Amino acid sequence: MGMPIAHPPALRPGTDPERPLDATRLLSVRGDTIAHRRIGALPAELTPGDLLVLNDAATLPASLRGELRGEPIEVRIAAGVGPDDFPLDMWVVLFGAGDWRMDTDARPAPPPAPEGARLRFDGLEATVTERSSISPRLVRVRWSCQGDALASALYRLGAVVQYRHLHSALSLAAVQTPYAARPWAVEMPSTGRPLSWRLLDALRNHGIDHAFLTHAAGLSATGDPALDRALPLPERYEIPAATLTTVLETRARGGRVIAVGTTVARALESAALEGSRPGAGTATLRIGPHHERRLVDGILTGIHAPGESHFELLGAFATRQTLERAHAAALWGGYLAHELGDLMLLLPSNDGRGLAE
Amino acid sequence: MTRPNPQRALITGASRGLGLALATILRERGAQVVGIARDERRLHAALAPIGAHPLAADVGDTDADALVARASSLAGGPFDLFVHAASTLGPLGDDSEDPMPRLADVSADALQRTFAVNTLGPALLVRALHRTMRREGGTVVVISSDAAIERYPGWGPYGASKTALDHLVGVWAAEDAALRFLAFDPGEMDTAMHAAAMPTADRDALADPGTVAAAILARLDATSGTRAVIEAA
Repeated sequence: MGMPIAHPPALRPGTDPERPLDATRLLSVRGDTIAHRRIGALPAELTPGDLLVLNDAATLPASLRGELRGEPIEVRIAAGVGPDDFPLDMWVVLFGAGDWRMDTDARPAPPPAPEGARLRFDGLEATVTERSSISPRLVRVRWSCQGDALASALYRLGAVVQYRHLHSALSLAAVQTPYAARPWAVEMPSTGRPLSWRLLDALRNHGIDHAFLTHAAGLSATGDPALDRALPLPERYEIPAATLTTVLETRARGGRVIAVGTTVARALESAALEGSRPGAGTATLRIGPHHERRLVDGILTGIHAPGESHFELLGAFATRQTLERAHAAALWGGYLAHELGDLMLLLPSNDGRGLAE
Repeated sequence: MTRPNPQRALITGASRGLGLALATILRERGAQVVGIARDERRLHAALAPIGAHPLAADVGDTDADALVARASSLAGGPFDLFVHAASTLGPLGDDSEDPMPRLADVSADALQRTFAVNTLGPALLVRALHRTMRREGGTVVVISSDAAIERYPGWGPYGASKTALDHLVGVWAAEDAALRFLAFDPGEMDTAMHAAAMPTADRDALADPGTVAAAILARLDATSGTRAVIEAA
């Protein structure tokens, strides 16, 4: 017998959708200073004049079970095409037989789905119209209906995308943020999940306002290495004019713009590259350590480990050394990771953006 | 052009009676209206002439989060008015003059169904609507009854479900001052439900649902407290 292989210790995932929102822990990282808080301390961790930007995308039941060439498949919606809530054309990822309790890497491949292939569901069909060059499992489909007819079918047939580390399936209600509005996300924009209206009211009473945008949060894993490397795929977003105005005014006053979740950072920074105009857009930007931030000063996010794409994104907000210290603090502090876990607030070292520049 | 107030309304029980009357007036005022009712064909037929969006569903047996997502997609944005006008008396007896069930005879299924439509359905719909309604503010209206207060024989399941609904409205209002929550007792109206409960009533003595709907909308911004009685008959 050889020596046991030493695995680096891993963050434990949050698994309880019923955990009270107030119990969410907050790892506060300001420059080199790390503090252990609860989410209720957020008003005290920020400064009057700061602005939180929230992703109001509601989460779809994006996982459907169907059939391709007589074989069972799972289809996960990756992205809608165009500005409609329930458009005729969408990109989807195909999974073979099995379900979310199996490791996606261990699931059998779906049958090949060339152009023209029919995906069949109970009372719904989709025709493959294009195969992605990234992976044969990423295909563009045309549904047999759109609008509320498609919505009705999706909500009847679909389930929310599930996570293997959970003990039981998540309901549609369990994955919505307290301010979820537009049904665009295929997995939950989870950072906002613990931000109750009570907390948002308390923040406002402290002079910390919030504003909304919609960003179609995409799939977090597909089990296909080539596809996983390409994540996040291009994601549609829409920034209301009032939100963009508030963001620009906040920065002009010397306040900080805090993105709630990586999706918000991606939407705002993508918009900044397009001339900071409001309206609809597609985020193709990959944010990493070399990204020069233009609109976002700080970020509230989940607890991420080195190697995850989200962790790379955080490199735009703090040095590698700070992020590794924060990860160690989260690990030894017993913070919970993933969608139902705890949060980290990552701010530049100085209070007040004006001082930092 | 000024925005209509409300801008977008979601109404249950919209295929007839008070729900349809409310939908009609709100459409005339330029609001986007989504109407919910169980009978898809009747709902489409009722809402097509007024240009409201039909959404066929059973509020007593549905996923409220799915329904609200579909409804706000149809309306093009979040709702600032929700009216729960759908209501059930529960299964009725076969006494042609007094079909309302006595508590000693009522089945568990009948009780559950009555509370599902009259109380639990709107409770979950309001929870789902709250997410977006909190942003710009809004009003939640439920249609109650004097049977929520008086103890009429035969009206036990219905009355108790309305008492519970009134109570939820009061607690919602206490928990969230940013929104308005109102329960209206519309009085006795000339509706299919009234005819089912009291087949021998004099219809001339009953209020027209259109008159009651107008009175409710006129009182939305002028009602203090969380419960009001409409006297239109």
